[in-house]
Amino acid sequence: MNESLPQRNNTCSQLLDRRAFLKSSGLVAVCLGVFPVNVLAIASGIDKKTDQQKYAPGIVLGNPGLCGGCRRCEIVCSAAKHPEEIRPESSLIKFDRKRFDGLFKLFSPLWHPDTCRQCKEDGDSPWCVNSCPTGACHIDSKTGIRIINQETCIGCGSCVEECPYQMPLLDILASTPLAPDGAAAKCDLCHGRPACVSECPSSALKFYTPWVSKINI
Amino acid sequence: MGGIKETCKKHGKESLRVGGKILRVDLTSGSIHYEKTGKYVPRFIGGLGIGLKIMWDEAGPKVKPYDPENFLMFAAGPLTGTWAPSAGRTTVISKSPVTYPVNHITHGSFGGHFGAELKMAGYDLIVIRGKARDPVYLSVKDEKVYIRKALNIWGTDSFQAQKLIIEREGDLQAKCAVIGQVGERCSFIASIISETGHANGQYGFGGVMGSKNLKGIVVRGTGSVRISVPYDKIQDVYQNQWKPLLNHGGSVVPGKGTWKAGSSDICWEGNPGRPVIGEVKAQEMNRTGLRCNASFEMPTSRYHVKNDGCFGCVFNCFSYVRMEGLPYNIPPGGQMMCQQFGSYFAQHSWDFKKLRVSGQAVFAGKQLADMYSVNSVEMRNIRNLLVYLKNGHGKLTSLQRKELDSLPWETEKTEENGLPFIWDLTNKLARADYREENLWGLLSRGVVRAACSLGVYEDIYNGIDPKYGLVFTNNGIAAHFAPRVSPVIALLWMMENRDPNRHDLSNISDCERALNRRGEITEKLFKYKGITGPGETGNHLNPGTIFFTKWILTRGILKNSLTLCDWVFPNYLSPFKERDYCGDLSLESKIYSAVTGHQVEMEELDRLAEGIWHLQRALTIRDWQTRDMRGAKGYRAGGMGDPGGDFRGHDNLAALYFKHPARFYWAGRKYRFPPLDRQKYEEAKTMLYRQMGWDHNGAPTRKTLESFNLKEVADELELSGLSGD
Ligand code: SF4
Ligand code: SF4
Ligand code: SF4
Repeated sequence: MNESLPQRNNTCSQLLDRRAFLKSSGLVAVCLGVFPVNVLAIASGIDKKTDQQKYAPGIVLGNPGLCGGCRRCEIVCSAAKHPEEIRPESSLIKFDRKRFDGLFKLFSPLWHPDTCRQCKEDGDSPWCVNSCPTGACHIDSKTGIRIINQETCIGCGSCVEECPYQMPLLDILASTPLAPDGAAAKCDLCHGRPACVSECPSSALKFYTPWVSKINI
Repeated sequence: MGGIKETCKKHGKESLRVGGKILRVDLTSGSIHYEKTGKYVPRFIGGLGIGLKIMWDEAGPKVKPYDPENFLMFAAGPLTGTWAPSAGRTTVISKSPVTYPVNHITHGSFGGHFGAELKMAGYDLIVIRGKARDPVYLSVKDEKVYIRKALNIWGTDSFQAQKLIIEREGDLQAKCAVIGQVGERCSFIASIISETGHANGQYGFGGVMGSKNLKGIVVRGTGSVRISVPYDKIQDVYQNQWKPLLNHGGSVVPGKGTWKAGSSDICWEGNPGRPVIGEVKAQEMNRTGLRCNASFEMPTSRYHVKNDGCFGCVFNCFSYVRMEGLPYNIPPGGQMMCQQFGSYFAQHSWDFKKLRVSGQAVFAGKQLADMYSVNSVEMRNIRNLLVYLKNGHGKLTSLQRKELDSLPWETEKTEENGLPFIWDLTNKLARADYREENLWGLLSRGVVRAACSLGVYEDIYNGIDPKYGLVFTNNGIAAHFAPRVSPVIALLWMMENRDPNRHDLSNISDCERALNRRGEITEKLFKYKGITGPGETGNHLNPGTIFFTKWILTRGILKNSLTLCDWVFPNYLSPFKERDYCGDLSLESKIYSAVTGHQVEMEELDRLAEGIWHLQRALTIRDWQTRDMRGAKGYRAGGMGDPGGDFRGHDNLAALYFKHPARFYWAGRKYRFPPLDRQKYEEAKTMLYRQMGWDHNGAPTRKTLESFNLKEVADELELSGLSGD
């Protein structure tokens, strides 16, 4: 394992705690509902008229109620970025990395892929963009997508560390002169046509585009 | 990082290329070394092919299943871990303790994510030999491989063991293949388990693992699998031509299915969101994974939370079931397949409405089988054998009778559970020792050996009341599907040295029936009439059935070598009227060419697979030490724990199939099929042997072996006097 790759800081015990918490709060049941609660949570806080400009054009979300865990989303995401190899580890959609019970498909059916939230501009958020010392991680002025320019990325790993959802990664397959151990990579919504969404055989991934007027696909 | 760092020609960037290595572990000496896969490919394709070749070169006929010299291999193939649909399977190869009367080299496989992870770690195969002094598990993390002590993990069930191993490795992405208590006891019917329901169930390889003191293998790979044609170049063809065809596996005809999964009312009742899946149409690429449903019509369908898929699958045919409040602290959630309901088929009947047990008992029985790592299909036979013995049959010692009576029989028949019975039985098997002559020890040797020792083998061989539902092949392997239904199934039962079930025939005939086009699609595909004709019975032998048997055998080998799933490939049918519902049989070779860069046509790849099938045949002959595979004469048993006596040759079926008709229910309908005609089958074998290039007794001739580039095999067979005439 390359030392510079991000270390996951989810220890098993932390995750087990989280499971205990989820159980007690009844979230297990809610999470399995067909409509992802996280969408509701995000959507409910939005005043579309005034806040529109602060959001990315859309967001991909995984539905734990339908996801079969085939990881085709990871396969095509990795292939979309590096067409000559399949490397789920380089995927920008992360199947079950932050699992609820700490074990791959054991004991809990809540598995689903985790996705970049394309966070709203608000204070320090999006953390990946605001923590980047070179401006490589930026908000695309045309589309509003939170995106990394790998040519100028120096591979410092700030975005990896600062993102509360642990979505960016240092991608060893994307090594550049400035970042020989791998430039940072994060979901760029495939510039408006998410490969993962069109591949999912379980309709578990949806591309929600409440502010789609901002993007010309 | 796993694999070899190399510079990508196109980008000039450093890149990772993994795979291409075989990991060899000797548990006796603790030595670990690597070998290049290159010397075996493309001749042996990968996966099963390489495994059998290593077996041929290094594991002679004298090696017994539980000898340290026996190999246990976990194999991935050239397509494993790529974008190829269903490329998540792992093939397991070893000498089986349970095959009967001879312990021969055979193979099975399991799904999940283990095989793909193995590829990402840089390996095509793990080849294990030797025996550890203390319990250990094997930890593979990219190029770092350790044999670790497993003292505190030994004795746990397979779910707990995976949890402990993963926690100890500190990497939540690691994938495991482990055994539970039954495997640790070296029972002949022990399985290997990955996740909560992916089992290498048959063949007793869990027992082989136990005999090596190997509790499990944990694999973590962070590398990549290099593909030859870049994905962006092949994407259009894959998405628009291949995938729409492949969405049609698993005998589900959209809207016309004999399987409920295609109809409008299917609902995942165990899911709090209660999604109603409804009919999935042919063009709905984003819903193919919702359609299969292993719990359909089963007593557990009310508890189906969602579908579950192996790495890269487009069907997700597993069922994740969750049932709160199970007794005996049985975990509430787990993956299951149709066959894992096995422990509860009291009759050889798939009429689920007539099942006498509750969904709770069925699921708990499955959980127990997988936790303790015992083959759930064999559990069905064991339970049925016990019922037969209980009804006064067999020659049991008074102690054995007492043991039999000690099971909680009063619960066996109760509609409500039946669970205390299965709980007690599984626990007894988990404490049994196969070396002992008590009832549980005998059962640990598998149903056939137990039946011999208890004096009921001849009864079963000649046919007992079918209500007992004892079904196994001539090789002693618990089986499903019935030989009297189709000559193809009957011939597969005779020829295979493993579980003869492949889904080819049922996939085709279910779909043809639903489309009202029986026999037509196979005729179009293969230019043979009458492979799946209407009114077919086991006696409708014709050149088409001979051809199709050989086809299934070869394609079976191909699937386990590439590794692809039996439920997805080959692609016989398509949902599209424009194609006249015909699929594309060359998809394997097209995908193989795109992924590996080794350009082959379908015929060429099939020929490579056929070569491997000859190699497997040669291995069986070498293990049986006879070239009389037809088995006209008797054969003296000599396997582990055998009671001795005369048995019939390899390519054979139990006498009952030639004596009695078959009567059973399937999907609410009654069926009756006449007994098989022995004379016809001797002729059919002759025809099949001729097609294969084997002699009159079913041994490959030198000419055939040499034409498949297997001169070394021909030489060795000749030296031992086993070569075909
Ligand atoms: S492709 Fe869909 S079903 Fe498969 S893991 Fe991703 S989200 Fe889940
Ligand atoms: S990478 Fe993290 S911080 Fe940045 S937009 Fe995505 S989720 Fe937000
Ligand atoms: S939208 Fe594209 S980049 Fe983002 S996770 Fe999906 S496939 Fe990957």
